[in-house]
Amino acid sequence: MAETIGLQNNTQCNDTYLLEKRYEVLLDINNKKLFKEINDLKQEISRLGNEIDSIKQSQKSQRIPVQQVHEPSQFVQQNTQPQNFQQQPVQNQQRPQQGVAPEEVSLDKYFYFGRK
Amino acid sequence: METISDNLALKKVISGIVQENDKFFNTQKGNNEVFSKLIPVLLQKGIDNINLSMFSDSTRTEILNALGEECLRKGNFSDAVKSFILTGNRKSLSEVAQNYEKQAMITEAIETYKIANDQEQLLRIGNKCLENGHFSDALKSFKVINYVDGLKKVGEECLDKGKWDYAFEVFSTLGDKNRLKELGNKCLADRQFSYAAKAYKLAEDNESLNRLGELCIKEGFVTTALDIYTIAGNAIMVEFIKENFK
Repeated sequence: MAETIGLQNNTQCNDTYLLEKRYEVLLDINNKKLFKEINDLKQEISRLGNEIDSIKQSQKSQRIPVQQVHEPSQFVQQNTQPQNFQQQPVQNQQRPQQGVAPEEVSLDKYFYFGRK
Repeated sequence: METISDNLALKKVISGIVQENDKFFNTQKGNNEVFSKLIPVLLQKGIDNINLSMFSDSTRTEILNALGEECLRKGNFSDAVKSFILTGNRKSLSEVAQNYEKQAMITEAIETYKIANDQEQLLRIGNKCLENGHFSDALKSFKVINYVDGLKKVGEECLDKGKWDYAFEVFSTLGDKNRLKELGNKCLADRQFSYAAKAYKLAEDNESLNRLGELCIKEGFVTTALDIYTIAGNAIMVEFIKENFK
């Protein structure tokens, strides 16, 4: 080893190199852990997304029959003023078995005044 | 206030557990017996996936050393190197390097000797590589230990055998201007203009650079000639090329 020159700084240099390598290994291990965690989170997010989609779909399928039932009444409520006269027979047709309340029948229909 | 006291209590509990663990690993049973049970499980998980932060430094070092030994025994050199790097175990790193050498993985062996700072082995392997004509590996090992004579030998061999890139690396590392000029001349004769330019530039040989520039213009490499004249500081020729060829 007598012919080697410049070895005086080598020990210090290689201590630094070992330290550098140590940090490299630690960073590598940490990076792998982080990647794994990120992948797990991504999988969890996609699973939750799928769950939300399925819930939305099931809600939609539940809503459709409900809307069909309510639609005619909504339509009637929207057109109350101008079509009041035409509505009454429709309502009567819808529930003939339930009977008719006195306020739903006009006064003219209670009494017969003869032909005018 | 509650959180601070909670934290303190938690710290006490954790330190208690750690101490108990240490006692368990250090006294209750022989270390070897405990580790022999642990190691296969840990190996199966992989060094990257285990967390030993709950152990004291000494216990962690022992476990990692045992893991490294087992990896070495099973031929998993890269994980063995990782374990020994984490424990700073130079002796075992040198052992791994020897195993790399036996498997003819010379580059990995040199790198591991470098980490272990095993200068004797680096000198030996460098000489061996030089004998076998593995200039790149010889250069690497001699560079680590700053072995000037060895580097010179590598440079000469590379000059003789036309390995211009390694020769340039050696003589630029050594800062040997005469050899760099000689390398430039040889590269010029071999029509390796870029290596020649690099060698003349480091040798600060403007005369040779101008000669190289003339040759490049004759050969039609105007851009290279412009670069070379710029390096040589030949303002007239730079202007001449800019005015007439650009």
